Parts: sequence; structure tokens; C-alpha cells
Amino acid sequence: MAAKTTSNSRRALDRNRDPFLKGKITIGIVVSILFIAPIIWMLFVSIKPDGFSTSTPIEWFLPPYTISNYITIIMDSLILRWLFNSFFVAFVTTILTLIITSLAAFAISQMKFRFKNFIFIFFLLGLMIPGEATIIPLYEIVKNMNLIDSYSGLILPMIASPLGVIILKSFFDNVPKEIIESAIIDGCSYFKLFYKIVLPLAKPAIAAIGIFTFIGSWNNFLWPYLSILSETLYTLPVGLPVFNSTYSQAYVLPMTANAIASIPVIIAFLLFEKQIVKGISFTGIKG
Amino acid sequence: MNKKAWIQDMKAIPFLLPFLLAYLIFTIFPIFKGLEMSLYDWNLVRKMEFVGLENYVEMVQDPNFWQTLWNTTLFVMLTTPTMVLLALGLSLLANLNTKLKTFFRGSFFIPSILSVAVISFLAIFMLQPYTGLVNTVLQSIGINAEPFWMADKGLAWVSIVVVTLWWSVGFNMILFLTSLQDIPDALYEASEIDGASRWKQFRYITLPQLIPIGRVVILLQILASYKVFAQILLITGGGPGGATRPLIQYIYEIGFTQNNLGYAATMSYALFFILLILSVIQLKNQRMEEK
Amino acid sequence: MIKKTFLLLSFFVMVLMITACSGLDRLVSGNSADVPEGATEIVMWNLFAGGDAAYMQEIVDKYNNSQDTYFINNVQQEYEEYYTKLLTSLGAGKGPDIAVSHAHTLPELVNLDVVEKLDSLAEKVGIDWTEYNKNILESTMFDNQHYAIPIDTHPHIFYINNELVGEAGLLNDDGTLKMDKTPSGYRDFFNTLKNELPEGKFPFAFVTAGVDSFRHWWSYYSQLGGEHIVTEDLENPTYVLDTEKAIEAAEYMLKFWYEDKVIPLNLADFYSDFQSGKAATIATGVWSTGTWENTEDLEITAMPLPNIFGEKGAWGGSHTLVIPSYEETDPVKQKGALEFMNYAADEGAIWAKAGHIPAKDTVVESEAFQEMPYREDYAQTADYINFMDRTIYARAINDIMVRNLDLIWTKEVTPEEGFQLVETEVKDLIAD
Repeated sequence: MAAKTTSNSRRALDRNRDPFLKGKITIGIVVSILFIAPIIWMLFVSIKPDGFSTSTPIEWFLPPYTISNYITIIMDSLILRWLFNSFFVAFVTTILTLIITSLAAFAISQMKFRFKNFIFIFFLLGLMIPGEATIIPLYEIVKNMNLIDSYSGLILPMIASPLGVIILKSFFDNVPKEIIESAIIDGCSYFKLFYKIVLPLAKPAIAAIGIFTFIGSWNNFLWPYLSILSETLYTLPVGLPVFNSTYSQAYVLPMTANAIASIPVIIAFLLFEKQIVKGISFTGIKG
Repeated sequence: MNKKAWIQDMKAIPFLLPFLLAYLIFTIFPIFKGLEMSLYDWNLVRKMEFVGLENYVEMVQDPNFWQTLWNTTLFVMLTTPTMVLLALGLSLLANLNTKLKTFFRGSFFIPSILSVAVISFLAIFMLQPYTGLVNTVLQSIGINAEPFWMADKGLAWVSIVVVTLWWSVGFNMILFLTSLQDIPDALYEASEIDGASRWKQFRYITLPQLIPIGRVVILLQILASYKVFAQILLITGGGPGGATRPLIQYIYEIGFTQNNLGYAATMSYALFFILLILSVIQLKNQRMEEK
Repeated sequence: MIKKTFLLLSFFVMVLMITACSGLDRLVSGNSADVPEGATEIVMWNLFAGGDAAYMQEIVDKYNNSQDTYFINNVQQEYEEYYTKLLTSLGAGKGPDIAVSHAHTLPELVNLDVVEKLDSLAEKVGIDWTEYNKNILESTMFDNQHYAIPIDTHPHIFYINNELVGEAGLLNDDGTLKMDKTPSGYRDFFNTLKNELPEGKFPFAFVTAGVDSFRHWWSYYSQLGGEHIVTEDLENPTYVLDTEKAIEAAEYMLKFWYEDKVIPLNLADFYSDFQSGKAATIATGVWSTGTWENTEDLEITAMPLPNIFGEKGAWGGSHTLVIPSYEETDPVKQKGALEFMNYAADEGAIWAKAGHIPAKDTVVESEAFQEMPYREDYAQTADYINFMDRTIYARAINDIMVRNLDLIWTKEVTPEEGFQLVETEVKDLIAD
């Protein structure tokens, strides 16, 4: 509510005072168009007839259009399968991350046990360990667990997020003591307390971490690139370049593949823009 | 008393154990495993003989290690200032008082949600010589040139930096935007009464208020840029002639293409310490912000 | 938020449904083909693309239809990362039962102890080693043991677009080129083309950077009398590049791009430039022959790369098939694998349709091969191919050469500086 009134008063101020507002808006429009132009171009190329090529840029955007490329790609390539893999891996990674980090955060925030501080600091150390720099030994470990080239091998190494524990712990810390104490007096078990009371109160943090984990997994390149051997288990970031590399000057079909890979996330973004933006400012500032 | 503490511990274990296990196996153990591997001649198929510090000696003497480390550092130096300025500029645009502000914010952010494979492929097809979109647009507006965006060393860096900015500026833009919106209007109103110009308002109110988040953005950016790999691999392949090859690509090539995991693990340690130092600085900064 | 999550989830389910139904279940079950009842599945990995891949599949299909004891599941892997994937999968124990390997990679695979010796198995299957070309066969043997079945040799050769070269007046009546086979005559040939070709066409389709440039350079280096980069000692080679000849070959090539300007710089796809009739000539591997032949409206002639520096020399490689070794071996699979490998070599005439020169002398002498156009002309190249040096470092040396030559082609460094870099890197590589 407060934000609304301030922005209203700002608007009044700006109208009165900013002589350059129109110019700034024009710059904003031009820059916005530059930012989305490649994406628009991709969508237009994907509906041009296969084999189309031109040196007159405007022709990319003019008819004739066709959707047959989409049918070709969906029927003859593994793109949908990779799309599914990416979705599946990101989804499961997110769910597992949320489960294990919230459980751990709850224990540290609300339970009494020995070495608690030590354990928390030990988790904090994880913030400083860069995954990219331990990927070679990680590969060897996952190989010895016989998980190379499997969904489990893709998902399990990515779920222990210290950042998630820390954000959730600070959220759980803010749950009013009275609520917890009265629940304990009522004979509520720790698990029930966690599940019924604390977790629902932490919804914004859960959403933020969930979105963050999902996007991170969706765009993860290095780990699937190393650990997946079978075409059928590729995720999009790994599969698409392989697909694209079989074309080098024919624009249309690979562009369709890229469009198919992008349309679902663009839709998801348009639906969840607010939550995504909130999630980023939340987790970004925290760490 | 002791028994009670023990019961408390037991109750906590089911909550802690799942995270602790995953954390120990996939985050902590690799550090030690990496140390072991760096002391051996170790390939993709099996562990070979113990070589002591030989891999470390090799690393210090390997010109390609220093070259790729320099390339990564160059990438950090090129992207960090440009990223901060661009993110700041875009956040100011997205904070303008207009109905279009949601559209602005969405446009600036939407490239960030695309897969690295997609943005790299778009870059390749746009920057391709003779038939690429950028060169044909240049020529259609009368600039008669055929720049080789990916084959010329300087232009290859320009291409990578521009693509990276376009792709990932949205994230930082939102961090700035959030801070902009948190600046109390009272500050502006007060200066209004004092008759401050808009430039002065920006210079003496907006900018100082953005310094804390600016520091966060810079550090996050440095940290993320030292991990650069995918877009360079996919756009230039590290070329021309290794001129844009980053350290992680070199580690990958040594480990997997050249089948020498031991030496790759050794170089990972160098990266590990660089990133560790940066993380410590970043966390320190964060603590400071919070106080 | 909940409503939207629901929307997204239902979209997710929809994708799943589309994937699972509508005859696309192949996508979900993976691309492991339907193995017939009772047949043993043998997984083969290949690194082929384009025409090569189609003809290899033809051989596999023919084999699968010819018997029902074994079923070869032919899996096509990406060329660029093929050996990385192969070694990774072998290390993880999840590799194939048959793998394609270039002859120059065999020393590395044998040294890593990841491929099976074939001799005793070959006796059971009844392989007649004398049917194979002796030179090629030798490159697959270590300590007098057979480790691979060679299926071809594939030199780099030269193709012309008959129409464009003819219109430029550079064809004799018998179809040969009006060209002096000298360094200057070869340049004259391209310069004439440049002057005579119609607007929008160019003389020579070729890459500026990458592996093809290295191979082209290697051909000239060989024609100048250069033989090696390192000595052919499997594990402890020494550096013996003839720097003078190396520089001369590189300087000669640079003229095509920068002095005569007969090759446009940094072509994105030189194959399609030749295929679409934009370029009058191309130099590349014989594997492209089938592609050109199957292109409508494209009349080509294939010929050995002109020997312009005196000595005969060309870059060439050889594809072989190997049986990877695992902790637990399956004798049935191994026997089937070797039977197929020998069969594939026997079906060299199908493989030759892609352009390759078969590895079995019996196939080269067969009518089926002799009747194919051009093959006989360029098959002679096989006699003077200068194969990559036989060491465990061949693949790594190849990478070093390509990367540093790229610096020369893009004029980042002079040829002198470039080969200085090569020397430092290769010596460093083979030092340990």
C-alpha cells in the first residue's frame, strides 16, 4: 500500500518536473526493442519455409509463413524429449532442494541439539565452495556411485544448497515464539510443527528459493555436459548445440528447435513475472 | 540430563540427515577427492601412479594455463564495469514514470530466462559473416563492411561481451530496480523544496543510495564471470586460435578431451582458491551491508 | 499464483502426453531400436554425419536383415565430442560393444587398454586378414596383434563444379584441368576462375579456421617433402617438424585468402557454398563425394589434390572398428560384434558410395567398386597418403596444430611465430 502512494506522489512530481521524460521513454522503447529483437527474429524465422535464406533483413519478417517446421522438429528430433528432461530434472531438483533445505533449516532454527553452532557454520562454509571448481572430482565420485548418465546423477549433486538453508533459517527465526511454544504445549510433534505451522509461514522464502533453484537447474550446462552420455538423457542446454551443429547455414529448422525450447519458458515468465522478480531481489540480495 | 540431550539429538537427526548427506557427499567430499586426484596421474579410465606435486609444477609452467586464466580475467574486467553501468541504466529506464515500465522491465529481463544454448545459437546466426542478420542489416543501412565477429580476436571479445550483457543483465537490473524503489520519496520531496535540479537529485540522492547494492552487484558479477564457460564454448569455441578460451574450458579439455583428470583437478584447485577468496570478500561485504 | 502454477503444470502434463502418445514413444523409451525376439543386441557407436551416417546405416540394416542371431543398434554420436564421450563411457563402464575409431587414435586406445585384442576371436569367426590392404592393416596392429578392423581410407581430395570451371574455359576436352601442376600454375588456375566467373560466384570454397585448414596444410607440407610432426614412437616420440617446409606450406596457403583473394574469408559453411553452386571448387575429404553426387543440378568431377610441389602427398585418415573391453566380457556379444565388423568391411562397396576407399583389396578390385565414377581416379591417392604420426599423442597433437594454425590463418601471428608456438606446445605435451 505504501509503495502505491509513494509512486503516485512520484508521478505527480515527475509530471511537473521532468522535461525529458518523453525523451527517456523513447530511449526506453528503443532499448527494449533491441533487447527483444533477436527473440522476435527467432520466432519469425521459425515460421519461414524450410531452406529460406535472404540478404534483405526485412524479408525475414514477411509472409509466407508455415508451421510445418514445428511438426518436423517435434516428429523427427529429440527436442521434446530434451524439453521434458529439462523440466523433469529442474522440477525434481527444486522439490528435493526445498525439502532437504527446509528440514535442515527448521532443525537449526527451532530445535535444540549439541554442536548446533558448529553444524551451522559448517553449512555456511558451503557458500564459499564453488561448484565449478570441484566438478572434476565430483565427476569421479558420481562415476564411482555408478550414476553417470542417469537422472539421479543429474539431480542429486545439485540439491544441497547452503544458501537455501541460510535464507530459510532466517525466515524461520522470525516465526513468533508464542506460536511455537503454544504448539509444543499442545503436544505438537516437531514434524507437525514444521509442516503445519512453520512451513506455511515461510511461503515467500520457499517460492523465492524454488524459482531460483528451478532457473539454475534449467540453465545448468557444465554438469549435464559432463555427466550425460546418452542422447535420450540430454537436457536442452546440452542437446540443442548438438542438434544445431548439424546445420550451419540453414537457419530455419534449428531456429524452430530453439523456438520450441524457448516458448514454454517465455510463457512461464509472462505468467510468473512478479514472483520471479521478487524471487531474484530476495535471493540476490541475500547472497 | 545427558540422556535428555541425547534424545534431543535423536529428534534433530531426521531433519538434518538428508541435507547433511547430500552436502557431505557432493559438496565437501569433492574437495578432498580433488586433492587426491591432483597428486596422481589419473585418467578417465583409471587411477594411475602417484606423482606427488608434479601436476602443480606443470601448472605453474604451462603457458596455456596462464593464457586461459588471463582470458577469464579479461572477461571479468570487460564485463564487470559494463554490466554495472548497463544494469544501472536499464533500471533507471524501468523505473520511469510511465505505463510502459512493466514492458521495459520484462524486455530487459526476458533474455535471461533463455537457455545458454539458445542465446549462443542466436548469436552465431546473427553474427555469421555474409549471411548473418547483423552484417546484412549493417549493409542494408549503407555500411559497406564485412566484419568477422567471431574470427577476429578483438571482435570475438566484443561479441562475447555484448552477448553476455544482453543475456544476463536482467538479473542485475532487477537488483538495482528494487533498491531504486526502496529509496524513500521523502528524500526527493525535501530536495524538491530546496530547489535541487533533477541531475543534482540523481547525483546526491539516487546514486549514494545505490552504492550498497552496487557493491553487491559488482562482487556477484566478478564471482559469476570467473565461472564463464558455456557461452564462450558455444559461440567461439574458445577461438580464434584459443584467444577467447576461458580457464574452465581448458580444464574441461585437459580432463576430458585430453584424458588427464589429474592435471584438470590440479588446475581446478587454482580456480577454487580464486573463487574462494572472492566469496570470502563477497560474504564479508554482505555482513557489512546487513549491519 | 496457485492458479498459474496449476496452468503451468497442466502444460507440463500436456507436453508429457504429446511426448508419450501419438506414436512418439520412441522419444520416451530412448532411441534403442526394437530388438527382434531372440536376437542379441549389439550397440555400436559411430561418429559419422550426413552421407556417411546414411550409408553406415544401410550396411547395418542389411546385416540385421541378413540374419537373426544379432541385432546391431547403430548409435550416431556427435563428431566433435566423440572420443571424449567414448573414453568417458568406457571409464564409466557404460560404453558400446562396437566403436568406430580413426586409425590414428588406436595407439591411444590400445595404450589405455580399453580395446580387445582380436586375434583369437578372429580365428573363431574365420577372418581372412590377407583380404585387407596391407598398409591399412598395419596401422591397426600393435606388437603383431590385431586390435581393429579397418573399413576404409579417406584422403583429402579436390572437387570441381564442371559447369563453372568449364564456362571459365579451364576444362580440356577430356575433362582434365587446364592447369600447370606447379605452385604458380595452381594459383593461376584460381585467379583465372576469379576473373572469369559470373557475379556472385567465387573460385574456391574453403574454411579459414578449423581442422580442414590443418589437413590442407598437411597435404602441401607432405608434397614439399615434409613427413612428420613427431617420430613414430608410440609412447616416447620426439619433435621433428620440418619448420622450413611447414612455413613454406603455410605461406603458400595464406596467399589464397589475402593475396589472390580466391577464397572469401571466414565462410560459415563452405560445404553448402559448393553444393549450392556458389563456388567453383572445393578441397575436402572423399566422404563428401556421395553428397555431391546426390545433389540435383550439381555436376562435379573428383580428383586427387594437385601435386604441385614435386613430391606426391595428401592428408588422409582411416576408419576402423574396435571392440571395447570391459571388466566382464560377453563372449556372445563379442563374437557377434566381430562378425558384423568383418561384414561391414566386406560391404565396402556400399561404404564407397559415400566416397571412401574400401579397406579390403578384394572390394577395391570388385566390379561394383570399379564401376563407380571417380573412385578409381582418386583411389590412387591411397598409395601416397601421409598418415598422421602414429603415437598415443596423435589426437592431442592434432588439437595443438589446429589451434595454432588458426592463429596463422587469421593473421594473429606470422607462420614463423605460429610454428614456434607449435614446437613449444608439442614438446611440452610429449615431455611427460
